[in-house]
Amino acid sequence: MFGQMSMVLLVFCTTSLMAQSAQHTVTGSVTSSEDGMPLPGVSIVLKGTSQGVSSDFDGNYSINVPNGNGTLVYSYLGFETQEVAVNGKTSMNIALAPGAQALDEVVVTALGIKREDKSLGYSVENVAGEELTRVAQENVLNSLSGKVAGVTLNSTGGTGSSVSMVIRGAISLSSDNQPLFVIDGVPVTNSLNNIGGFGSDNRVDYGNAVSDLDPNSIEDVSILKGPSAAALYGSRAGNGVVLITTKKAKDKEKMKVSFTTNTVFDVPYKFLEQQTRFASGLFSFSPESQGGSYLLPDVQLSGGNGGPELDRGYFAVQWNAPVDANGVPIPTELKSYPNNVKNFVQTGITTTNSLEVTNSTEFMNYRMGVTNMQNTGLVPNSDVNRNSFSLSASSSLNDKLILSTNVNVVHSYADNRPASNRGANPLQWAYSTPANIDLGLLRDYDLPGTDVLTLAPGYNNPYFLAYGVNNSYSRYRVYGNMVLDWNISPSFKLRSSYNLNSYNQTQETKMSPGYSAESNNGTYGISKTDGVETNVDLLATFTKDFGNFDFSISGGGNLMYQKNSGLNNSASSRVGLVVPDLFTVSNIAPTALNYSSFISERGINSVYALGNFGFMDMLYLDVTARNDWSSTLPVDNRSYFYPSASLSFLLSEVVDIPKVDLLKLRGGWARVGNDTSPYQLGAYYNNAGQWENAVLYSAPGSLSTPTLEPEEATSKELGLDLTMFNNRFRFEGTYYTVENRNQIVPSIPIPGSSGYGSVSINAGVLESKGYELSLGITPVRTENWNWDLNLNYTTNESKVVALAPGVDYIELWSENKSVSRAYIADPATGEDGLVGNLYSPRIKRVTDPNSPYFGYPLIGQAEDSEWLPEEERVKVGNYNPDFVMGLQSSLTFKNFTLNMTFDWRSGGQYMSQTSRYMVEDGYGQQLLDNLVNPGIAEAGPELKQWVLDRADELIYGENFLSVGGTPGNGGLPETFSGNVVYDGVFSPGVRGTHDENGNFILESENLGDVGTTFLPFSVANPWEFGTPHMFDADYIKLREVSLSYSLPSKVIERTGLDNISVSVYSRNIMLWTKDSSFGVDPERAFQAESGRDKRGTQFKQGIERYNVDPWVIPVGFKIGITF
Amino acid sequence: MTKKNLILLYGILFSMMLSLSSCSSDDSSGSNDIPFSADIFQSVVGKKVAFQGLTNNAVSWTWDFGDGTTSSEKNPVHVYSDGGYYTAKLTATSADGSSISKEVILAIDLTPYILLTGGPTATNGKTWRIASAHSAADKLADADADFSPIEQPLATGILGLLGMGEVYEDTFTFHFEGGYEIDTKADGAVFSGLVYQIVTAGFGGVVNANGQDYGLCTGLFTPDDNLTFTYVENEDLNVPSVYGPGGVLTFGNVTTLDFSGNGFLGFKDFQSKVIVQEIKDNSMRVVMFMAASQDYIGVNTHALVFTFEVVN
Repeated sequence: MFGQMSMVLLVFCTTSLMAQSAQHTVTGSVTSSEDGMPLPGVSIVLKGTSQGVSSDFDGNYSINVPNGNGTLVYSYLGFETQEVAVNGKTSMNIALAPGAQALDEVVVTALGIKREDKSLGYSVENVAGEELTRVAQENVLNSLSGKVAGVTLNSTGGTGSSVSMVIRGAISLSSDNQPLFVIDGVPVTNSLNNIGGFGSDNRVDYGNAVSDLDPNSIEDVSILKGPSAAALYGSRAGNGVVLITTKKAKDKEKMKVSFTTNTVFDVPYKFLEQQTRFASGLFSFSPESQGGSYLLPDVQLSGGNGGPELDRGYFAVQWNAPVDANGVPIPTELKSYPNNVKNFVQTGITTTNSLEVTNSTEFMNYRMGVTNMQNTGLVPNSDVNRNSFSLSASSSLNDKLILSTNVNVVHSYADNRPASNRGANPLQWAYSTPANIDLGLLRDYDLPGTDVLTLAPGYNNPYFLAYGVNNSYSRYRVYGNMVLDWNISPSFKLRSSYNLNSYNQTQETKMSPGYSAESNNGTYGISKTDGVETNVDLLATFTKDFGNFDFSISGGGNLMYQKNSGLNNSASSRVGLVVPDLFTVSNIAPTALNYSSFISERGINSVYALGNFGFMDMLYLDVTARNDWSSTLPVDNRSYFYPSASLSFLLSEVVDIPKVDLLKLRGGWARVGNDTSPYQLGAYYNNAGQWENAVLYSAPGSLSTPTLEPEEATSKELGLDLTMFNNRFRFEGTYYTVENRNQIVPSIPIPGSSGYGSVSINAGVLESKGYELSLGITPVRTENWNWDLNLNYTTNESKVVALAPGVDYIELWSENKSVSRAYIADPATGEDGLVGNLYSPRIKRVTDPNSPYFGYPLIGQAEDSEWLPEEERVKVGNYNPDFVMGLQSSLTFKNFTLNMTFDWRSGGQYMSQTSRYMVEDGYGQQLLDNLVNPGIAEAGPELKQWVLDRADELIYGENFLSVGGTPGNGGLPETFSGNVVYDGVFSPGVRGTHDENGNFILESENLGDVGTTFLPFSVANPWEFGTPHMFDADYIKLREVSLSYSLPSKVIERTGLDNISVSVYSRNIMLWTKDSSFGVDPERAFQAESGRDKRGTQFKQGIERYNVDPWVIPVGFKIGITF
Repeated sequence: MTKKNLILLYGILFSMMLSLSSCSSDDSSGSNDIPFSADIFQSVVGKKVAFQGLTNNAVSWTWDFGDGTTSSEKNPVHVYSDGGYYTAKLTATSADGSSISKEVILAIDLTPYILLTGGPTATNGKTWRIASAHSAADKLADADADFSPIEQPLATGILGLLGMGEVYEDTFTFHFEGGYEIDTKADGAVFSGLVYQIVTAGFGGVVNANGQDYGLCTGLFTPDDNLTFTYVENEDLNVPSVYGPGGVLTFGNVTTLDFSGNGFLGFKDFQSKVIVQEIKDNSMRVVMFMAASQDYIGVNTHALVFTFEVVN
């Protein structure tokens, strides 16, 4: 002990002596206090000087300190900066603690410029790459759900489907409002319009562009909301920008190899709420109606499913009746098969394996990554696969020139994507299996010849649709860039880049004979599409720091060019192939061949400038300006200019408020222009197929407008950021408005005398406003424990303020006896103008206040004794949520981390055509739930009185409750089958008319007294109304839950590896719904269509038709190894 | 400590998953209490009958085929050696020893003659009457070659609507050995042509003249003793008709019934021989002629095509 001390003293003395004549050298190593790992690249600066070094691969450094006096400042991104006095020491080993990052957090902003968060006058959401891969999601957008404010994400279907992302609400009525994705500077448009498929009603969602992105390669995602943050990306950024930065090798980091493997099992657990109590048929015969016999009339596949009750020991001849010794079909017991769909679907399995290598040498930093993702879907024989290769490299050519590149090659493909919507959708037909039929009997569907086993003509076999209809695709996408940074001087920099995004995609449908809508030898179709977009950018930046005042001014230009082309060949719908199962174009008869090709080009040239001005680290001003020249607009209108400005004020730098780390006030104003799609200015003829040998060309029904002007969105936002208690309390609040003028609205109806049906015009003003709040707290932070909670809240409202003269509304869709329209907000009409409103008819009622029947429902005659609808539709809901709230909890204990993300959407409605069809056909449980058992067996005054006693519910209410029931359970006697069957119900109401003075003239009552028409309950669904199948969309999902464990470094050291972590996780589990017990995921209220609607989109929002994957409980496992 | 926490956290994660899956269980109970029941389904082709014992909660089955043979199979196939009517009986026994019996009457391999008479086992013969639920083929027609309809279809109970509902009550019994009986029921009168009654018995014979607008009535009738019938297939029948050349029409290859004495079927008029258009186990359709013209007494002008049903 003593010896060592004297040794140190001796060295000290020696060096002191040397310092008189020479430099004092300090050596040591820098490690992370968290895991003891060496930190390479730590900046070590002698305080007050410009003298500094950085640590090497192993965290070692060596620095000369004159006289051995002074203080060394150790700083490293993500760690707390440490200052240590030298005091003549020659060896200083430093452990840096992970830092409170938010204070000096650096975010990526427009054009990839890294900025300190505190200097920004607008809100930028940032999500780190690890947040995206903690729980494997095939589509990176799914991993943003619940994590960011101001963003609404919706999966349109299962794995491999499109994912819709809308930032700050729909601001455009003429697009799908998807933001622009910019991946390492490469713009990638993520339109929802990739629905293909050939053959009648075979609509296939092939997934949108962003699904090609490999989440494992992402370092960081920044979301620039609204025009202010996006002013520099031009037209397409009107809906916001998602900036994705991929992983790069860090400077001076030794070679690292990481391998991650992920497997997740999607276990289906909730299916649509079907009634499985009754067999197919319109009449529920029972021993009571059959003279006590348990042998009932044959059970027919009639379209209805209110037949005899199952599992009661009844017998009847059924569809697959065996025959007796005489060859006569024999009755079999009527039993229920409640698990048909459960047995039809399978557990989805997704495996993702990812390998990356990073290295940095003196000459070059590089990262190479390869990821393979394979998914087998819930529907048998469905899959999606993706292979991604990425390379990023940068090299210093000399001390002023840095050349870097990113190259990504992605191949995504599937042998079969199941059809959505109604038609060739296997799930639709699995659900259209009467409860008395064992669907498993259809599994072996091959019959002699080309026939396929089905229940009856017009029915489709879901197994055939899964295996015999193959909708494949293969898409190669290459995107990347080359960037040259020229640091001419410390204050003047030049950057030029060339960015490329190209893809080619082949979609094919191979359909064997067996689908009822393609009965001529099946069908075949192939389409090939190619797309390329190039962007050439040049940006010059001048930065100067005058101490209290600093600024940065940039100017640049962009040349954007897009070209898309495609080729389609397919058999005409329902005409089919010459011979079956030969899938080539030459197997299509010439007269049945649909052929087409297209090409489309667009260019936008831009110049832009931006300036950032900082004053005393407390006041920051950003201004931007951009001018675009778009090829899609008329020459006179094609130049448009848009500026933006934002201000950030750090109050906490001016006044010292106790406990407050940061208090920032910010505000921004921005404008962005938007052009339109190519070829909207002039008319051109469309090939309309053939009529015998004549080729038809048709003039468009929509009149083009050669004088279109660019759209113009103006946004304003105000915000406050507050961080307190050593970053343990974090708050951000933003209020914004967006006003979108000059909306290019397609398909405005015009009088037919013009020769056209509609016109595209600049019309109207759309306003959006909303709040975005996020709150983070760290209630527990100790040596071993850390618990972070982050809450975010989003609300948005988009409103139509004006439209063109004579145009009252824009119709978004018309389905389910309902419409979604955006009317002009106007107190005179009572319209609130909200986008997403749903309108549906109410029950028609007696309007004569003097009539004793005032307010009673009007009903039809005889077998149509159902409630009649009003001709006018009224607002019944809106498909947008009132607010969206996300909660993230991260609990760390030593090497364990438990992460959970919750997503709560409140408010909003959706319509389910699946429910409508299934209840109408008697498959849906709602049919039975809406029957009210009066406990009275026959028509008469007693039954009428029972109804009148419940008038509020049954007569005045809009509840669609039928009185009566099923045999033995309230069923009233009805004779529509020719026999008395005890399955009758009735719609309480009256028949009659109003005379010209509005007086009601009663024809007959239908209130339960003698003369009331009892209909079998199988037809009780009120088909003429949309509201019985409208549901509240509120839900809470557990987006992600994961438990991970990193092996302690002591253990890992022995293995020679750098890091091992294992985790188990789950995702997207529905925890609660307000009104979705039927089993439609409210998030998937998107109806896929093969054609584009008036707004140019293929998805109808707020409504769905057989978009009904079962709900799943995923169970995932992940292992990551780094060495 | 570490291990304990790991287990704890795993526990939390998976209990969450379990609670989610358990509350979603949607298997139907499917266990309605089905009472003990028995019903018979059978098909008959020739003399072969395939029986199905449709039972719930039965443990044994006993079939009595009605021809002296039995079976204890659940779904026996039995071949009868002779045609005829048989009553097959299923007795199902449950686990607690209680039993239910169900019977079915079978018409096995029957000729039209057996269908008409009930066969040799029908000790009381087979009794028919005019069905008030007139079939779609029933009509009031001209006595021409095609029986061109004057009134068709006939409303259910049309004779009752005319005030002659008692006509539906009279019965006609055919015996396998050839014997024939007519029961006029309480009124002692039978369905008849008004012209025929006046010509043969005068106004005094007419009991109910409510149908006189149609030339119909009921007339007093006492059947002769020991009436017999004659059943002939594939006969060319010559019938006096105002529509025939020379006052006679020939209906080729028809099945006829004729009667001894004052016997007739259904409608008493000058001509008692009728054409049988169709005969089934429970119904037969017959053409009965009517001479309703005072100018051509005894020459048929009309035909009644009526369906008869079996009286049980």
